[in-house]
Amino acid sequence: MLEFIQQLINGFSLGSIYAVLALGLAMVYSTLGILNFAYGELITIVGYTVYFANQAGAPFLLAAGLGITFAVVASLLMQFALFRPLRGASFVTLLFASFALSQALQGVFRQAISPRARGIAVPEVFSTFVTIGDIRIGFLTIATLVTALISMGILAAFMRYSRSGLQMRAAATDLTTTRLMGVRANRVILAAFAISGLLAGVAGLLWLARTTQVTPTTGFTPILIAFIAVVLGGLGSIPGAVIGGYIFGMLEVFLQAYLPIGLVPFQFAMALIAVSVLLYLRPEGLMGRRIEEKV
Amino acid sequence: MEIHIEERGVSPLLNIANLKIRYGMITALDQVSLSIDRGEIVVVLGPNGAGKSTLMGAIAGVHKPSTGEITLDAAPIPYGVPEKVLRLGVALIPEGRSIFGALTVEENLRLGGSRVSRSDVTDGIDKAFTRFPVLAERRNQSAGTLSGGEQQQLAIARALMSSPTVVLYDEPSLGLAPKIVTQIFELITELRDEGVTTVLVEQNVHLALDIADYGYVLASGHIVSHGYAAELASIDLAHLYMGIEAAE
Amino acid sequence: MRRGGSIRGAGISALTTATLMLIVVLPFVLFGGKSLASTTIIFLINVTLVVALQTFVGNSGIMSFGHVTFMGVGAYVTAWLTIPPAIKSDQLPELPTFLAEAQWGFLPSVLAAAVVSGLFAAIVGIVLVRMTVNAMVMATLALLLVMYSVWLNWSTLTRGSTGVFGVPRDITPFLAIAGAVVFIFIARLFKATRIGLQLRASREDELSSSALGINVRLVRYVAWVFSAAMMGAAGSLWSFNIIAFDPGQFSFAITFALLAMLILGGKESVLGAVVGAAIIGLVTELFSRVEQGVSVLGIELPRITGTVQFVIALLIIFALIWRPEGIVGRREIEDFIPPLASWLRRSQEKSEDAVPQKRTQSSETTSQESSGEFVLEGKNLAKSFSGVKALGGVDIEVKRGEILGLIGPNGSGKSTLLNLISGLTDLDSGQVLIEGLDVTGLPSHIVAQHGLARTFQNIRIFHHLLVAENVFAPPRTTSESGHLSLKQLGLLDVRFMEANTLSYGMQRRLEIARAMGTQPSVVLLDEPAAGMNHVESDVLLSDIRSLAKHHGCGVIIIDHDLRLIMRLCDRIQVLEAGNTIAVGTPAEVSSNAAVLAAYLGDAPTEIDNGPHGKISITTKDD
Repeated sequence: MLEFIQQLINGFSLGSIYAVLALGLAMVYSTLGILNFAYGELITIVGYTVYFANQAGAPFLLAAGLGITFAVVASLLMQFALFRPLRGASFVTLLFASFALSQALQGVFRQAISPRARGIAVPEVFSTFVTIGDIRIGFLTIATLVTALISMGILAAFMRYSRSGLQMRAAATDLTTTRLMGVRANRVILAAFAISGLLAGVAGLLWLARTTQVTPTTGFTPILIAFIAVVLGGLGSIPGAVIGGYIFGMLEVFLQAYLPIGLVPFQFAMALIAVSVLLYLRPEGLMGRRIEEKV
Repeated sequence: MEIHIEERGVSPLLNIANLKIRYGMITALDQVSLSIDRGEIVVVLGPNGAGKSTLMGAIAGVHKPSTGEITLDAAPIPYGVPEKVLRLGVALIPEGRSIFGALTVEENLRLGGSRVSRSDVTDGIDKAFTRFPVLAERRNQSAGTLSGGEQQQLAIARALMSSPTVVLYDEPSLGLAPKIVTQIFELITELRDEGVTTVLVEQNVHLALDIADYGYVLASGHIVSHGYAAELASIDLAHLYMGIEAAE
Repeated sequence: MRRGGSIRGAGISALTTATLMLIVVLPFVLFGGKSLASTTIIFLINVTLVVALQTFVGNSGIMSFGHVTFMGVGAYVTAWLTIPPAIKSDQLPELPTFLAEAQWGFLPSVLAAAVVSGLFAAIVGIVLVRMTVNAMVMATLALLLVMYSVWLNWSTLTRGSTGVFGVPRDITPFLAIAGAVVFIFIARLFKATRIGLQLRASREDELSSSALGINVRLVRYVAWVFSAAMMGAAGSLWSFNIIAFDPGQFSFAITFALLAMLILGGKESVLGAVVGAAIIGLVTELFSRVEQGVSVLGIELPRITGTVQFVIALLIIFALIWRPEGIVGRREIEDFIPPLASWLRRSQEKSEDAVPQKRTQSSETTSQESSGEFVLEGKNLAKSFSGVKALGGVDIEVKRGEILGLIGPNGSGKSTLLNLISGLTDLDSGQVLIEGLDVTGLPSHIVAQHGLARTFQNIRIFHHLLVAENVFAPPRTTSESGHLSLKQLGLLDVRFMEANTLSYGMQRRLEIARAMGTQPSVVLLDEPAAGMNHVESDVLLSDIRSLAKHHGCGVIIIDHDLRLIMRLCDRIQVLEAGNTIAVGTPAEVSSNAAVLAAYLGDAPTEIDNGPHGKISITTKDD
């Protein structure tokens, strides 16, 4: 039982990272209909920024702040350099173009920095444990949960109560009518990319704190999981993306904990198969809407 | 209903000259010219598929003209940029109302005031609730739960948030019960009396001509007829709409 | 311009493409020395890989990130079957006996690879094909990941990340050439088969292809399995060349490279696949030399790193921005050789025009023999969207050879009614019968297969297919009925033109020809003359009249040009706010007060029609 609760918390924690990530992806998707494959590289950028900040002797918080800032900047740059010129292209063209960008960036990291892993210094407190009653939980696990929840809470509040948030919510439903209200399309798009970068930055930090290293392909696995979470939750549903992230995190942790030893290496594969079964039963995703096409 | 004696079209507020709009291979509008004087209610009539909504969309900046010119106060409007057109004081209430069902009544109103200062938004919302008490009752409800007539009121209230000088109504009577339609049309007249220049697309010919000053008849993308409302009311629009040729 | 086309034409096209490739490749093989021969073999194997991928991606329009999985399956199957048992037992001691002792030859192994890949794809495909297109793309990504993880971890079968070695080096330049040529043939022929055509139609417009009877899921499934088998065979060839490999090979780098080749060259064309492979091969060759500063031999595709990948990525991005359809576009080789194209066209024409005309009579007699007076009966059809009633219990019936006009103000439910009848929208209640057969609730492609055809308000032809391909795509269309359809709508002269290049009026006619070619019992026309000028629409609608009489089918037509509706239709049904308010002859309906009120508003007034006569309606004063 205790074991179960411990795993539950772990699952929540990992799920939180995936949820934040998926949220960032979903924000851009719901506003623009684009799935940005190069989103994962934002995490890698956070990683290398923190690495270089470490080298320069900066304290962790400063390094973290810089990392997030660069993620936001990079996200905006992606919009300008890639998505704006390709505005109006099909979903798959955009997906593949962002895939190409992702590969290009990985190449750049490999060449300009190093193909090998670089270590990231994290505060020692992250490796400590906290004991609540009979349960022993990693400090990092709790910190991850708390940070993620606070971030999502702030975002939710922003979307709910601010003017920009209202405009973005409207734009995600119907961009043209929103423009008829006088809302500038460009501003909304930039805001979406900025928020997306911010979320990738936060999630990236949390991810890197676990792995404590960065390689040119660091962003790759998390982004695939974010993709899966978004599809699982239902393309176009923002709460769905969050739920999808949590489900996948839970799946991963519980498979890891409870799978027979021989099958443990296959946990990722099994998680994906589980997701596929879910999608077979409900092709539009958990919270997706069956779109009635106008004939 | 008075018939205007002054010469119209001399210095129109809104002028559309030789407008042509194409979607891919289809020509939706061709050689369309209209003028709308300040303070008028001008109605655009015509069968379905005639291009009425396209015309509204063009004025509001949703569609870009292939050729032709649309001017507001003699200055060309920004083609294809709806947010700029709103800034200039032209508000479109699209067909089917297009309110955001998932947002609350108040949020919809706030959205309408996107280009307006925060204090003006608060004033605007107060005014809206005064004019439309039923919206005040439902201010925190999702707009999707409102009845058709209430949604139409919301759509109009939302458009008014930006204090427009011109309001374009695209088929406001669509799907509404006759009593509600009468109310809406009374409202439109009221607003005109407060100084809002009005362009109205309607299928309900009689009601429209009842409140209009001037009218244009659009068919298959062309203006086939135009005149003062009284004149139009007497010509046989049935011929145009129903294709009634008695000697068949 | 000529694409797709008959099997024979496809064969000649493939032959030409293969010959072209050979002309370019043979000098390298014969005179280039060992290193160049080696590079050329790699290019040829890449051709097989890309062409296998193209068979699915190009024809279905669905970008698959997961096809490399099948390459891996093929490679590992080959490894299990062909590595000499002595070496095999060292690497994979726990392999099942029948595999551990196996030492197969070249061809059987390639075939086995194809079969196993095909079977695997058949299983996975069941889940995949149920998804929407975008979700399917994501799912292929998931497939790649799952299998990568499986290979990495299932050490008993794959030796994990260390990889296997020892596949006999059986690939000779001749075999590589043979392989590439065979694949080109297979892919090109597939494109020209009925299934290939239906798949391409679904790529152009999923909705209308379904509405004309094409089982979109099935054709996608078939292409998925077929291309997976090809990919498995290609993977086998690849393994015979590379000898040793590990799971890292079957991941993103090569997926990216193959997709890049496809997109750069033109994914809808087999020639494009070959050209793309050539270009990327060239770029790889050049930049690898640049990268390493020394003339390098035999660049293996999966080992692209650094500069090369970066350059390819940039190329792709630029291509997507400025030439998204690829260098070759949608054209096959014959489109670049006008004499060849016109020769193929002429021989196609000859064979088609020789079609015996007597069949046309038989289609008429068949329809008369069918039981029942009504081709379509709709009873109590109702539909609400999110609580708002769109249609409330409407009845509709159409007799054989009858033209029924469906009119009503905006929002009255006309399109919804058509969608309910054709199975595009689920109905809340009611029944639909076609020729007495209950088709209520059946998916739209099955309804179509029972003899219903339709056109759409926003024209939904298969834009990038040829006119003839548009007409012959649906399953119910025979070569005779399709030919007749083209003839009756005056499209024979343009049958080899791309549908997009037609004038708007001709495109509308094409949509009707496509519908009539299915020999329908009932045809639904949704604003067939929308966007046409009066002259064009007059001609079209009189053609519709003669077509309906000739074919003996029933027609429901929605149009807003009431003048024409009144002239064309035998009966008219008027909807308002989801209910029928009048049914009758044009004369009856046009003098019906309620109808006039619906269109013009309440309080109908006396209307004088001028010198041609008077139609007066009593005014009701309230």
